[in-house]
Amino acid sequence: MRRDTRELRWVLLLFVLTAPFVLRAPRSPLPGEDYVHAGAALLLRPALLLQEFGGARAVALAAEEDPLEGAPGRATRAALDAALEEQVLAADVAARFAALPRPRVPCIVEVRRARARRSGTRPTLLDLALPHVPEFATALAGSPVVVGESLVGFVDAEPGPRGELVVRSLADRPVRGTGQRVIALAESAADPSLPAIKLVVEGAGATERFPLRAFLTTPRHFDTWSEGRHPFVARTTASADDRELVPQQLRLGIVEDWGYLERDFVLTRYLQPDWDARSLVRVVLFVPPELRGQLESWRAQREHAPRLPMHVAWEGPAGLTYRDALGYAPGLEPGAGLFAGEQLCGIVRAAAFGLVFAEALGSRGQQLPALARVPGRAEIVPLLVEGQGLVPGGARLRVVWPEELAISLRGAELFSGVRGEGLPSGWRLGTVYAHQGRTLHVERVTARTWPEGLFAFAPSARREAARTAAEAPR
Amino acid sequence: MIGLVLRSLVLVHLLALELIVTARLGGVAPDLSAVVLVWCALALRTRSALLVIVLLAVPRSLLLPGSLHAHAWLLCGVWLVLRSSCHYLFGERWFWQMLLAALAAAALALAQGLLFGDAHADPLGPALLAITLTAIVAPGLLLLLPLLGAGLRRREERPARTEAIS
Repeated sequence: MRRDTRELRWVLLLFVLTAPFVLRAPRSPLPGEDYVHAGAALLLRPALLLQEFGGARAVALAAEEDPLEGAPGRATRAALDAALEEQVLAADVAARFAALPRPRVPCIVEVRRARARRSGTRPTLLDLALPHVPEFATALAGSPVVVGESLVGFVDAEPGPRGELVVRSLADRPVRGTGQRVIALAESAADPSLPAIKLVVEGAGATERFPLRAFLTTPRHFDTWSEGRHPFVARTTASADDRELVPQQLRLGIVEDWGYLERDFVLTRYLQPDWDARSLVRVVLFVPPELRGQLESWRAQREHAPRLPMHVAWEGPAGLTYRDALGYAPGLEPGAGLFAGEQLCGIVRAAAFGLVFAEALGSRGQQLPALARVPGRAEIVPLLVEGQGLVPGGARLRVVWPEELAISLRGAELFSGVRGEGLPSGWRLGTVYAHQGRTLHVERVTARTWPEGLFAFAPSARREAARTAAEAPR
Repeated sequence: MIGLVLRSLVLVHLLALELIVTARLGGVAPDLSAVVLVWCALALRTRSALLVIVLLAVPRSLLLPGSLHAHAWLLCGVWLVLRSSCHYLFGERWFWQMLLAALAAAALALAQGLLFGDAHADPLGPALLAITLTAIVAPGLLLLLPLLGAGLRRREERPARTEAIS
């Protein structure tokens, strides 16, 4: 009995000590947790063991076909891509870059994923769908990256983790060394007669409220928040260092002041940019003219990812606020999308030994970049949405970014944004049938069961293996 | 080892069945995890109870939102509350077992809502009737659960302890 009491004390101590970790991230899996889940999944559906043997061959066969050729949604995605490309490249911005002492030309590039320097912090780096080739990287390093009229960041000299070209957004703030700094001038959009604020803009800290921070502001304590003054829009201005690289009048963001506002005392001056790194699908690189041809040829060589079929072995019941599926699709990584037809149906939550645990689109806590095509408007609205749970006939999504939407999204068609190789942009999410505050009620094409013919996109490592298997003599 | 696998097999199917019933009946199915926790608090020694809690946390983290460590922590917390309550509530009697099961079900629903439902609601959406049903089925299930492989050791120990004191 005494031993029992001693053990209980240890349990109590362990319970108290682990409380902060659990309460901080109750959904974040521990390392190796997926393998434990795989064991439990095999107990639930032992038939999954049998699928292991046919898996490699299924991938090899899938890699031989071009899945997008002749697909009915290809035209929709092409139209969406064209609209996005038109939106991100502003003609007057291109003219301003062309008028620099060393002119630069635009090149539209796909974003592959946004990632953070450290886990749990704000994503500030963009991996592009272009390879990092050392002989061109030196010339490309420091090239400005723009979306519409907004300066997003600059091309980094270092490659990404998968050997791709990386953009350091203005919000990026390395642990050591200094961030990227841009000299700016903020003017009131409401009253242009008010004096302008000079400021230097750099990335804010990972835990700060806004992505950009201003320092060396002149005047230091100046009312930017009162009605008739707000918003103050910061734009680039000429400086001795970057006048050959960045033209004037590129938007940086809206000034947001923190301090004792009733005493006109500003503690910290932040900037809220017009973009969020997670919502970007296409960006414009302004590169030296001699590099444009090379970049265009790389873009043309981009291969379509082959489809990877997923066999659903167990599906969670319909009628709850979430819905899971357990299946077999070797090589998938967490975060990859599961598609059926033109619809994005779910997202892989965990994967181990070829077993895939997926949750239906709209399950609570699921963050996803999205593109909204609003009826009657030409522009595509980029969003970052979070699942709030399934409801009969659809799902509820909360708009995480932008914080304030000027337009109603009722009737808008939602498409996926980009989040890695496994979740490309342009796949249908659903139609918004109600928009209240920041909550969207989305109607989805879903049945009571997971649809037939589920597939995912094979990651590049798996694609290489499949190609080798297909080319091997039989 | 075989015992562990068998217990896991039973628990994962039990939870899957509970999920299906909950979804079909609209959140009025009894919470079997709560009954298993009451069984752990009443019948098992600390070490055995922790093992059952971990075995229960694995299928819960597979089939419900939330990670393994969060589920294990949550179950452990409810078990600690139940275990200390058992000393005062004479858990051997069926009506106290009903109260304990209702307490466990309510605590689980509340904590799941806070942890995994972003403080909105339990992802399973249990109704008040579900907690009542849990209380109703608990005494019967507590008689069946020892078939999983662990007997009511503390129940046997308690008279022996009383005899030693007297």
